[in-house]
Amino acid sequence: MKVTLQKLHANQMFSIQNDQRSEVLYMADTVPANSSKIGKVAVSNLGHAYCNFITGSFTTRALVGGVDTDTGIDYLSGVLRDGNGNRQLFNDYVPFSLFLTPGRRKSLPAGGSDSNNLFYPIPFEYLFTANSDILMDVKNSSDVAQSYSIAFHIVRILAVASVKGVKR
Amino acid sequence: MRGFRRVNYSQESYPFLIYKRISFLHSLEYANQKLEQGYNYLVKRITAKWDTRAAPLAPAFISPPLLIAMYTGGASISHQQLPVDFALITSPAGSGVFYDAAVSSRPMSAVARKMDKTINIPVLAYDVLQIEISGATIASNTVPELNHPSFCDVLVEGRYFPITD
Repeated sequence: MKVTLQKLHANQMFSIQNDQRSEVLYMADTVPANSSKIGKVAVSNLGHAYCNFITGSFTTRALVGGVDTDTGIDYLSGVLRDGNGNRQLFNDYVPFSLFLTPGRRKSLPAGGSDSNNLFYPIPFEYLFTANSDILMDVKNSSDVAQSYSIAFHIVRILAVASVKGVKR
Repeated sequence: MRGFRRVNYSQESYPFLIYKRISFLHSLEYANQKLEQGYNYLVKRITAKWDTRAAPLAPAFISPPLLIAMYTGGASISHQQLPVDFALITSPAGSGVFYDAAVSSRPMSAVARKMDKTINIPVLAYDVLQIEISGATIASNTVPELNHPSFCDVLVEGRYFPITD
């Protein structure tokens, strides 16, 4: 915004902020070697969550000659599901390096080059329902456990019960 | 009876990501995705990766071009007049990408520079989205540096819109 040209009206802004505000829903998990696991984050009963962007990072480890090594290879893939109605939002297990940014993070000092990723949050505009879960069904094709973390950048639309009695 | 009206009862649009791994057995390959009934699908962006090492495990990287065209519906209506060089519309393409040959699923590298081309490609599709990739040269080429890898990964980002009359 242009601070010297646009005036901020605090009362109007608080009035809106009492009904909706920016928030981040965070999901992190570790997937065992050669296995799959469903990660989830609860939307909670605060209100519905309108997702704007998704960001995330993950490890890229494998056994090389029996030694746990950071190879820089993407072993994780996942399917995003809306827990309300179990709607599948990807057609297949999508490799994490294709849609997560900044993407790969180095987890061991030896081996693997720098990530060299640009930070470009993937737009994903979707309304997740209050009291439901956001599910990420993740597969790990490595012989070492992998960690990942995903952030859903949302606008929380507060439920009436959450704002009852709040002065506007 | 006044006519036929087609209504989608869910009445909402939602984002949907389509992932395909396309093997290059021939220089012209296709991938098809059956789209949800009662919806149009708007393609917004494509991300694609393929291994561009001059020879497997070699340190030198090259970037042979791959061409992409998209078709939709039963009428095979093209969205552009000529197939387009993948590297001009999507990222990371073949830049610094390699795969792990030791693993049977051939996972791709995660270290390639990503998302430095963000050109929107509004393509409206229905019924079936067909991706055609051409230009791949396979192992029969006597100059190994000009060979493409045996497959590429493609991610199509788009959104479903309900069809309403």
